[in-house]
Amino acid sequence: MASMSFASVTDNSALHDGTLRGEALRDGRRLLGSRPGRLRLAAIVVAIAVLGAGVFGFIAASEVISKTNDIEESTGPVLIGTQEMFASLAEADAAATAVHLSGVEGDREQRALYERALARSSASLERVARQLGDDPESHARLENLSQSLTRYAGLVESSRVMNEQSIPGADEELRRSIELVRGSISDDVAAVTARMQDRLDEEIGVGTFYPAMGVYVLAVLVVLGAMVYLALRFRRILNPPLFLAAIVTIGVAGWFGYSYFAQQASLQNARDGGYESIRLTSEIQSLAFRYKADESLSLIEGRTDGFDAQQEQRRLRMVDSGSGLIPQLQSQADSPREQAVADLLGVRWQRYALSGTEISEALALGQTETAVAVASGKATSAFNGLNTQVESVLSDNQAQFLEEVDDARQSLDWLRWVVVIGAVLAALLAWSGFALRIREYQ
Amino acid sequence: MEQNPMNPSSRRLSRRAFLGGSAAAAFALSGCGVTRSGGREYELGSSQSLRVMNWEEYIDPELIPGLGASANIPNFEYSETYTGNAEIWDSVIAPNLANGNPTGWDIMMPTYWQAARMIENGWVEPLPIELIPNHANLDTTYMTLDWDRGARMQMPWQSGMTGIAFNTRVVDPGDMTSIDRLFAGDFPGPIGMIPEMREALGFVMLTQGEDPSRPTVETATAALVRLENLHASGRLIWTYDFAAALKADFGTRPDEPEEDRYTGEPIFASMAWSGDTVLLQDELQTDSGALGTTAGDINFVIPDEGAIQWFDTMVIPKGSPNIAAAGNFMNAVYDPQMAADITEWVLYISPVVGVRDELLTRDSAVLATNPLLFPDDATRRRLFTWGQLPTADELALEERFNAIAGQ
Repeated sequence: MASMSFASVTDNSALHDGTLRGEALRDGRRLLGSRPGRLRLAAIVVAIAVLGAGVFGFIAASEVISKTNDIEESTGPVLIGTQEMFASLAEADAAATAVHLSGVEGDREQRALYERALARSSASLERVARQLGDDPESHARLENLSQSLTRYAGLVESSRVMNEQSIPGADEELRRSIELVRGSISDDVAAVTARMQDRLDEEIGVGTFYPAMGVYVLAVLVVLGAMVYLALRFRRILNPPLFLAAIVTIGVAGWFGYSYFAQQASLQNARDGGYESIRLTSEIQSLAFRYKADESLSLIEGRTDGFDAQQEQRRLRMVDSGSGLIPQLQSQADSPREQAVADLLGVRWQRYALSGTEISEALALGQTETAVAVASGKATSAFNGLNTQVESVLSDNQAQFLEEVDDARQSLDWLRWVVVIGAVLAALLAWSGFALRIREYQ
Repeated sequence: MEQNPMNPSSRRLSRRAFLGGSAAAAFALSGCGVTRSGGREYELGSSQSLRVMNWEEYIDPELIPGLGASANIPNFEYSETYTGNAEIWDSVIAPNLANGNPTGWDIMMPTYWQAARMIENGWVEPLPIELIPNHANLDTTYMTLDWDRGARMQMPWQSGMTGIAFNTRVVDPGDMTSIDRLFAGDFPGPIGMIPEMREALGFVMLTQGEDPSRPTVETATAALVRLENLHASGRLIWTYDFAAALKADFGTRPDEPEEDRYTGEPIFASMAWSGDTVLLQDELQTDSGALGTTAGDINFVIPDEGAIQWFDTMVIPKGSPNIAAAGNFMNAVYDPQMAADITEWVLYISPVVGVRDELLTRDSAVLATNPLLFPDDATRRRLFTWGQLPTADELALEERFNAIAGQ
């Protein structure tokens, strides 16, 4: 009995399913078999097309906005912050070397400068770590940098104490600290910078914009197709709601395109006008630091072999009229202020290079004391002038870069709302356009 | 007639000669809560007009007309009405800038710590660097300041040292080598003290083995306590016009106007500004006929503990309509020739690189070897510039300091 009733239930169920399927088929036939039914179906298709374009547009807009926000809040600040960190560290290192070279008594002012610069460097590093976002590889580099900074400070301190107490090995400790900045720290900074540059390229990239525009074009074609269909069927040229739906969809697509191209233009300006200068400046700074580091090492180790030739190459790389970094920076300047700041950087470099020449000449003549005096006095001062000028260039370009990125973000301000509201409005209009005809028919 | 830089006519007033009587009783920071401007945008505005407010006797008056012309500023107004940091803050800077109004001036010359406060409050326009190619002549010492990295918001006018000046006829030069010796001196008369808190506290901090460039509330308070004790002993005379007081030791020129004569208690040793002391030495030399004095009657020493360095600096107050003219003016005074002209007269430390070389080519070449104008590296290492404490702490210290310094 029990199995019997189970079988009958099963059978009933099959019967029920069959009934439902049949009803659905009948409903479908009724829908497609009558004009109003076909119109309702067409209305659904048009509404789905318009809403689909809206959904796709919303996704694409969100992606563009998210990338722009990321440039503004993470990639841009990290790129700049990394250079600032290195600028501070270069200043700290120059000051530490000056303290060391000034002898057992040290140099209080340079010592204070070193401490402040190191503190700034650490603060920049912390800030960069906070702004970096989800990037395990860069975080690992920053972790390395943090450890290197601690190690660097330890080496400088140990060198200072040994110097003060006339313990042998102070020179070696300082040499290791300079090598650390020139080696591991520079590498880590370069790696983070390269990753951020890649990220910037990727974030400025096209993404899903063109597919989204494709979908919009399709949606517009569907709406226009519907208008033609209704015009032919009902011998009315214009269906106002559908016409408005087409206008709204075209308007949203136009808004999307305009916002996107405005965003792209601003980001390109940010990259060409701001970031390219930042990149050049960081290269100048890095080269100047290597120049300074080698100068310090040659003084500490008392060697001059190959030193001048290498320094000469760096001088050329800096100021060569064809491809020199400073002429490039000057040609990048797109405002009188930027031009002036780049020119000042050139003057500061010349001053520093002159003091470098004095040092190498003194070393070549065996006048180590004179070389040390120039290095710990005039040359350090000139390097500080160069370094702070680098900061000025960075600061001005940073302002320009961030301003352009902000413009890019602002150009996307209402995009998501426009896309969503536009899609819903166009769908409702399309539906009501069909509803008009359906009502007429009924 | 061209003025002999070593014989500067009859000018007698110091950089801050009128400061003493006019400094405000309290340093009311009425505008501290004002929203900072933050941005670095500026409008160049006009280059046809400029109003500069500077300290008294801080430029050769004969230079002023030419300065306007060399900066191409037809409507150039130069006023020596910057009578003191506190007074100008209270009367011009805070009341206007805190309310978003311009000050009516295009360039002002606050002392560095006040300039730092103005920058912190967003009350200063960025320098129009594009109009100041001579910014390259700025001594790099002023580019590493934490409150204005790269000197983008201010350009120093003159710098000076605060050390000890004394009458060598009364005080043995071999005996007066330290601040402690100044305070414990067994020479006659009271000690002159300049009522500038940062300099006075810094001076005392040096005797306590502390670094005035990195003050803390504790170290500054300890210095203030020692200063209060010294003041209670009745041995201190607070005056900006220490030079007049020192000069009075040698009598008065018959032709000296009554109102210019120093009438206070004579002092034989004082905390002193380097430039005013060089000026005093100059005058004593000039008055040798009338008073029988020589430049060597007054000595200026950088104490064993070190000395305080300060500088007054050009800033463009927020809302200036003539930023272009201000930039042109700054560029003009940073030309080494013009800067050397200024140095020849004011006898303070110039922040402009190249002044020394320029002076070496002139009749006044002797100035180029004056260590008070061009301190060497060893001297520079003994100079301390007051670091900054949080504003609230500085105000609390100022209140106590003013109670003893009579401001």
